[in-house]
Amino acid sequence: MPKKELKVIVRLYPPLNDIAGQDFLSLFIDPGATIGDLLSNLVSRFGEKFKKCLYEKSEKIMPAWCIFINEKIIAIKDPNSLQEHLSDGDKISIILNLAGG
Amino acid sequence: MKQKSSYAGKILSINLSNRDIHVEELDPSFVSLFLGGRGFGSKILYDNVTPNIKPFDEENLIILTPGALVGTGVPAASRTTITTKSPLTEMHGDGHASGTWGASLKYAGYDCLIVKGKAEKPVYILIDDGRVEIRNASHLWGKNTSVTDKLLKEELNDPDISTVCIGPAGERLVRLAAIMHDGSDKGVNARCGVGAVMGSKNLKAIAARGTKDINLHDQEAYKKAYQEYLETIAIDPYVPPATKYGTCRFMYHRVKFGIHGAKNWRYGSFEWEPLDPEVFRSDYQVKASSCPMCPIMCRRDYRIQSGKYAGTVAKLEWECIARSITCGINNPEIVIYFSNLCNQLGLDVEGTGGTIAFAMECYEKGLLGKEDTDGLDLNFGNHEAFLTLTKKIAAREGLGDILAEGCYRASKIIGKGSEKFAIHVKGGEMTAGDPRGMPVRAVSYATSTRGSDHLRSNPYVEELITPEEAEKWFGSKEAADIYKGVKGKGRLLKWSEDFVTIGDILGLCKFAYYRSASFEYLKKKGLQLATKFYNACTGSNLSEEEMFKTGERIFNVEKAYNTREGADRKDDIIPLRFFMEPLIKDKIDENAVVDRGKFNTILEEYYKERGWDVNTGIPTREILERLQLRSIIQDLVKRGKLA
Repeated sequence: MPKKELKVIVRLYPPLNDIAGQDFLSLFIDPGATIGDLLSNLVSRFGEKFKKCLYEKSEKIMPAWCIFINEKIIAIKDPNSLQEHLSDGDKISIILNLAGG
Repeated sequence: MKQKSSYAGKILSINLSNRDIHVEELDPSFVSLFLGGRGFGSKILYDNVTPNIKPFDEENLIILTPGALVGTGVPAASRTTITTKSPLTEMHGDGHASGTWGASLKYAGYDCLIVKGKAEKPVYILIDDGRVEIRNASHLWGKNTSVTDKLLKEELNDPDISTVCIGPAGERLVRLAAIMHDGSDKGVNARCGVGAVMGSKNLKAIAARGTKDINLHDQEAYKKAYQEYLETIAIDPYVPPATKYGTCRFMYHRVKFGIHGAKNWRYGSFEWEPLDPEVFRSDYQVKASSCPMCPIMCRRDYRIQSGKYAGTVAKLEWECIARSITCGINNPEIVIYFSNLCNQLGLDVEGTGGTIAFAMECYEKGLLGKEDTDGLDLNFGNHEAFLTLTKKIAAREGLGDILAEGCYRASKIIGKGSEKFAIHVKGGEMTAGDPRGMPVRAVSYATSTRGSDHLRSNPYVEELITPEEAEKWFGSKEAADIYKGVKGKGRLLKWSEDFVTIGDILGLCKFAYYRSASFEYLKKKGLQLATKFYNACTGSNLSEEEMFKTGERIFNVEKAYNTREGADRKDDIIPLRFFMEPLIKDKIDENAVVDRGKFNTILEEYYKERGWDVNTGIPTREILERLQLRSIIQDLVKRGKLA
């Protein structure tokens, strides 16, 4: 019997939300899916512009992006962080880590 | 300047005491070392305003210097530095603002205006090409900034003439007073109390216009750099949020990281939702615009449509929202009204908000009672008290007279232990986000040469570099870790201070050149293209290394100035609160404080990287010699101030 899909909520911050046309989305993902899998899912949904915004030419995530899972920051600069597994009900935020004023 | 160059070639000096007006040629050797803008201002201040001169003495100078690229049409090159001895810090002081005034000064034929002395009665200065006049301003005295600008434009029969002016706050020597460009329509030279020094000279305004050409040395190189700049910002994810929300965009970051510093720098989280950038955009925005020649367009006019403050319009910037939060305010209409109020009265929103927050905490702790506040209930978040106290500060009325001195001096007057609630560095009120949990940001506030300031450096580089880039550029992968990293952070801070100084020298906007989502784009805009633009406009042949060294030179001039005034390592410190009191409702790290051990380790690495004495934090002969600052070496040796 196949395992039940996980439901996660994704919050996209500018400019990703403008490219995607939505601030929030609910996604059903495979059990065992990682944060890296989630990002691939988003890129396949929202296309090349979304990808160029999120990734450097080297295909690595631009380090200025910051990902939170339920308010916990994922150390995106560490490639291993993309292997972090997601759980049912997780809330994921993707925001540019750009302070200032 | 003999060759075809974008420099106007002259310095205009005006002594208001004896009404002497003097023009001199720009010395090429001075230009080659200091380039313009903040570079000119810092060195002229060092050479002329010595420790025996107090900020409100006639001998103090107001030095107005457009950046070297202002007036050339280079994207976002519209910023003018105003330098003086600060009445807040009694050290080097400057403020930076965009607008048309700097370009107008250059079109009139001058790269720099120096004002000294004190007029007997209120005056304004008219610079009209070669004609320079000191004119009566009695009819303008007491007027707010927009009215002053309007009356000047009518009097001079020129709706396009550029003006800078002070409001009632500057006239009354409020140490938080700013200088406004074109009333409240353009930029604000806000920090360090520059408006109060202008007021001390009985100088209400300076109007400028000119008809001279600005010559670009190499049109082709200029066009090529322009194209490269546009291509770079087109792919930088940093830009679209700026274009969409203006500076309100910083809210999302502040919320997500929980670094508001709400209620006088105590709370990381705050009931921020009414101040969502989308609220400002959908409910209040009436105009999106830009500073001269800027393709990013992050300026915004917000209008209150109804209610008690209906009709109020303000060009609101993020720091006004941030400092309202420091006072516990989360009503967007109060924030808009506060912004306009400060602009009209000629007040720095950052210093004013920070000082009111100090008073609110004194009230909360019982150090001030209603008998001290003229009956005002100074609870955090009280709208009426917030706005009324702002007016009282500008008028130096009641408690406002004490707060007009800034939070540091006000705490000395109030006493009773209130000093620990005065959140400042070197006398300048804190800005930007809370540094707890992010050690290099804490150090950057401490090392700024004009008092607490997030714009004096760009430690945010740590956000956008990879560990590999951090190792290559700053000597350790740790430098890419915002929270835990220590090693390499001192070098990162030194690099970022020198880097952003280039922008202030050339007149380039920080947002347009010195912020980015990528280290590659950041270096390209802030150093490579900045250098290309400078060479194309002026005919110079500076390498990127020489441009960077110029940034380092200017920073050292300011450090030497403060050293001469008596500052040393003990002054490179942040308020005790950040070391001792955990940020309440922090999201990053429970009970986050600034770790004093990390702070000191980063500070000492920073001093070593700067070539300053680690024990005293003051410059050495070796570094000043390398930076060709020989006259400063001689001066510091004479005064026994060289390490």
